[in-house]
Amino acid sequence: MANKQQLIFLVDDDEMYLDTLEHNLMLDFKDGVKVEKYSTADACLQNIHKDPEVIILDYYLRTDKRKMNGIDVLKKIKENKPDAEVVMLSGQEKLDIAVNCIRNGAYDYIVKNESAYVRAGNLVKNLLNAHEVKKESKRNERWNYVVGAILFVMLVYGIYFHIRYD
Amino acid sequence: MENSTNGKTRTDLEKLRTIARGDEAFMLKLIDHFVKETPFSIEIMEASLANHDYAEIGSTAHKIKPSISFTGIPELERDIRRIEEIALGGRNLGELEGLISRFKAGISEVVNDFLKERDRIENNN
Repeated sequence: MANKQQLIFLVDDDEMYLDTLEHNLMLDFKDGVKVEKYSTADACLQNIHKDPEVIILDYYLRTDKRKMNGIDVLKKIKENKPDAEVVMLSGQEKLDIAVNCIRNGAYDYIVKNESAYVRAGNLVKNLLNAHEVKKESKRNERWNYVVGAILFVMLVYGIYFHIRYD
Repeated sequence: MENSTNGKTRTDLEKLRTIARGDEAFMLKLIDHFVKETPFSIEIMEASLANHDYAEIGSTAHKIKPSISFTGIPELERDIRRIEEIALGGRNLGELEGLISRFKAGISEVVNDFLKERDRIENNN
């Protein structure tokens, strides 16, 4: 895990649930993560430029004035931040909703029950680790590109001097 | 919740403690929230029933359903699920009044148990 705090958005209109999720994540990750809570989809989308690594999103937000359902919000998040991993939360144990969420890019779907906090904590842990590995791999790719470019320039110069002075 | 036959409470305070992971300050926060919001949500369901606004009943039941699991009382969890199902499904609407009334009585006893627990925590600290 990186030294930099990783950002997690929690989006739910149930204040009690939001607080409980936040409490559990803070106990699990301490200073390793920064949690921001939003009670509407609009507030989440307005802050998406902050580049959260993980978003835990309630499927059914009563506070949303435009009455977007969870899939609409998920699609908008993915349009803006394709790298952000989204875990959907719902009080509904409906397989079709879960499948639809996954099809539209959600990483997982958690039913809101007493074990949801533990499950959310484990998922966030896995996602943050995977996110770090992905970032590290991108850093390595960039480094490989720089080394390749230097070798190429050296080769071109080598050929040039070889032709000129031979 | 006092059980008239054996004097034991049905509210499972251990569940609340587990969810708060033993953090008593957080337990107080959860209790305060539950005590304030759940009876208010029941009032909304009662008013909506009087107005035949079943969508609002279903939506309110859906919203409070997760926090009812904090009580550790399976009967209340079953009742709130049934209220949501009937209100959103539009069938057996006649059952709603009795269900909401029974749910309200159960929540009222949970609120009493939570408030007693709140006093106990505050007196210990």
